[in-house]
Amino acid sequence: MLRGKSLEEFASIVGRENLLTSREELLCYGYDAQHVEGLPDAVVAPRSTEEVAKVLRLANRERIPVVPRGAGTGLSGGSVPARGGIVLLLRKMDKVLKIDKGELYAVVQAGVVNKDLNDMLAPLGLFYPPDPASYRTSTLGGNIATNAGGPHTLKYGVTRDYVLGLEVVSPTGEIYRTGALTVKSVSGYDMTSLLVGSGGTLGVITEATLRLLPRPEHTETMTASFPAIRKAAEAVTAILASGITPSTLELMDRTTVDVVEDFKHLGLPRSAEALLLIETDGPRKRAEEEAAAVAAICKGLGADVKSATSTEERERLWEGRRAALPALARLKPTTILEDVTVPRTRIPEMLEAVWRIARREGIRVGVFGHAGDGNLHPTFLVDERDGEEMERVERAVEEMFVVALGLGGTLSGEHGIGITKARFLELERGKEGVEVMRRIKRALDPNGILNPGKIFP
Amino acid sequence: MDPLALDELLIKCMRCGDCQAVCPTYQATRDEVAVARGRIRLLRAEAGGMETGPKFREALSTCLLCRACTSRCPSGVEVDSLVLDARGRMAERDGLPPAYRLAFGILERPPLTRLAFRIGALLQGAVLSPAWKDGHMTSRRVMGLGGRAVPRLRAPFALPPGKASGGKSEVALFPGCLTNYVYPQVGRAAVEVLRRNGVEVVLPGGGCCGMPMLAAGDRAGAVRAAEANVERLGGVETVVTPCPTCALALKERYPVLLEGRDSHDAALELGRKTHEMCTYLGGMELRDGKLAGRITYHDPCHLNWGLGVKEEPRALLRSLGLELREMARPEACCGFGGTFSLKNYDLAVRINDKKLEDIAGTEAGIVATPCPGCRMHIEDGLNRRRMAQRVLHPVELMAMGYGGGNAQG
Repeated sequence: MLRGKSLEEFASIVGRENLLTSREELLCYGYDAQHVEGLPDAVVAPRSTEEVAKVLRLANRERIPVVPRGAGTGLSGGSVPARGGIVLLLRKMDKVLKIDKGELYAVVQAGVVNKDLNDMLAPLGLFYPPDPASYRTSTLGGNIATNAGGPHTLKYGVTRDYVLGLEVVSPTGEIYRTGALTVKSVSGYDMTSLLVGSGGTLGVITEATLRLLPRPEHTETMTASFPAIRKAAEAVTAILASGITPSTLELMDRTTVDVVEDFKHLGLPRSAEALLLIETDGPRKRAEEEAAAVAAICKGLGADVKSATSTEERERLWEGRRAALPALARLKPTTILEDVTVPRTRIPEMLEAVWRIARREGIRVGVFGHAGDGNLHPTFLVDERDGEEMERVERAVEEMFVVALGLGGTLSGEHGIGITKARFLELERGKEGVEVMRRIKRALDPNGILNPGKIFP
Repeated sequence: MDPLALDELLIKCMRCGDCQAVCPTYQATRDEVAVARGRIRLLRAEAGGMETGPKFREALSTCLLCRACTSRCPSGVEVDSLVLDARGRMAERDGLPPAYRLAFGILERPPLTRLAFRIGALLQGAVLSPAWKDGHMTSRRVMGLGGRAVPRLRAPFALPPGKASGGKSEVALFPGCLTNYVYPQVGRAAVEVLRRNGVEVVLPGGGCCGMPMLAAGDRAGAVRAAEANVERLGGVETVVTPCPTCALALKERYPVLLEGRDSHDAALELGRKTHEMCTYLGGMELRDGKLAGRITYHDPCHLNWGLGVKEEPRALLRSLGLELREMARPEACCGFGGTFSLKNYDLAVRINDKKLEDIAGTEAGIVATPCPGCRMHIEDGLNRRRMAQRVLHPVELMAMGYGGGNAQG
């Protein structure tokens, strides 16, 4: 519980109307997009970086936990107030401050929604590539805190590759900037890289300078359905080995395709053990040539290839991929969406392990994801009201993590460790690795107030 | 709704937050309490025994019932049904405001409604002053108006004399209250267009569709309205209405409201044979009309998200030869939401301001929209911002197209 005096002080920093304390509001700011919840003692919505700094200084004085939040669409509990305290709502700091067409960067406040930035860039012939599935609702601050990915990372990279610099408020309330406007800079430590993906535990991001690219002239889209997952994996390797980097290389397993077909009736082949959605982009001639080469490789490995010859067809092929999560989500009340990532050549083994583990525990699972970079999204379908089933899915997920790490993979490609994977961190990083990270955390946040209970077990 | 059924519906929400992208109240406030995901969380808490305070009531009252969230929701959560159900409980607990009980009592009885509007038409000159916008009245002092501009009331809609040419078929017109009493010219245009295309129109005498009652939580009042309309419209083959909200009520709400009652089968039948105006016209072979002018089109929430209709009205307008300039976000809510705009006028204005910006961006002189509610609210906004655009129902433009001429004139 917060002392009345602290609440008064928060109100005087951000304005009374930006301090939320009703039970209803607290409930609504206690969850994100997965099923573990918390309850804050108050919600504080600052209007400026200076207010963020004042809030953090007060929080340090009073030892009040602070949980930064954008749109609250994270998938690992990163913005869930696990230990009470205040939710620091940055969603309302949502101005695009600058777009520099010549230098190709944009400066945005943390609360700007990913799609809103791209909507402003489109008429200028520019785009900001990282497009996680939540791009219509998630904020750039949240994207940065989780180093968000999406379907285009194979060719375009992740969020970290597009952050030129940040304006940050440290856990103890100092405002500083990281990075540079230039492509290269080695002035001191690369704080940008440390903060990107740090899940709101090492600082509060208030502003970001983001690298932009000119939009590709043309995109070719196709699906390739493979009767066997191993052939699909071979195709992925062959495509990349040929020197072509598709802009999209998405995968859906048979369960997923089946469920999507039941829901959307798009004519996707139910017999495929793996369905790939592949795109090439760039100057028109190059995109077309690469697409033809990709199609040939897939056909050579026994795939049935369908290429889109119009915008409508392209939309329809994407509809299938986008319907993966919605279609699966309709089967059971609770969806547990993971994002284990393995080296791409190990995808068949990872998939087979997920199918086997789920079958053994009697849990329904569909797997879709980013085949090009090995980032899979096993989606377990359960009912959170069934305690016994939840125990089984916990076991399945744990075993899946162990297998992924054994294959040289990582616990999370995009969603972050947050709350839900904290207890597995040591498995991947080892005692020493975790201890070094803890030391950094303690150095920057001596009172342990910024997003406690996240990342570290 | 019984607790088990409610729980099954509530648990479908997977908390993805996709609703944020389309919810008008979230877009205006960026507040989780004002979006489907938050409202559902509150309903789960209520079902779990949480005491509901003013913030709960506010959260549930500020839902526009536009169904944008439902149409996008990956899990297919029926948010508007859940909100309506909650409002029913709230109304039972707290009672309805007296002004609402009075208004609904009047709306339930068509002769009384007619009388009330006649009195209003008589007194408006004395009580209200002309607004900036032609044909509109306003007042700061009159209770409930709060400075908004409302159309000057004319004689209520009555079936114009005449017959259909050819008279190949017959439909019953269900005008709905706004067309009956505020925009009777839309009713007359609808009759004109139908008759020119060989469709005779009968007027079985409609009362209020019951949506205002349902939206306010007066479930009993909504049931009575539904029963009355199901009976009145029982003998006809086809019902056409120029109001998407009425269409939604007749097609989707009545079967739910009248479940388990003797009238349920008739309600299902009514739902099947009721059509929104543009959808009905879109399915016909129409005589050619011709009209020049640059227009833009606003998608009413209940027509687009509710009934899934967006192409038919546009096709009708294009077939007249009108230049259709799409606004940015034509599907964005206008902010009316029926009783929503009465209780939450500030928020309704904030949402409306964005729509007005988008309209201005098209440089079109006319906004075509097939919803009288949207029309009333957009006209209020045009008045507020001193914008010269006019708002017309597509069926009015079609009637003009049969008479020839220019829409801008």
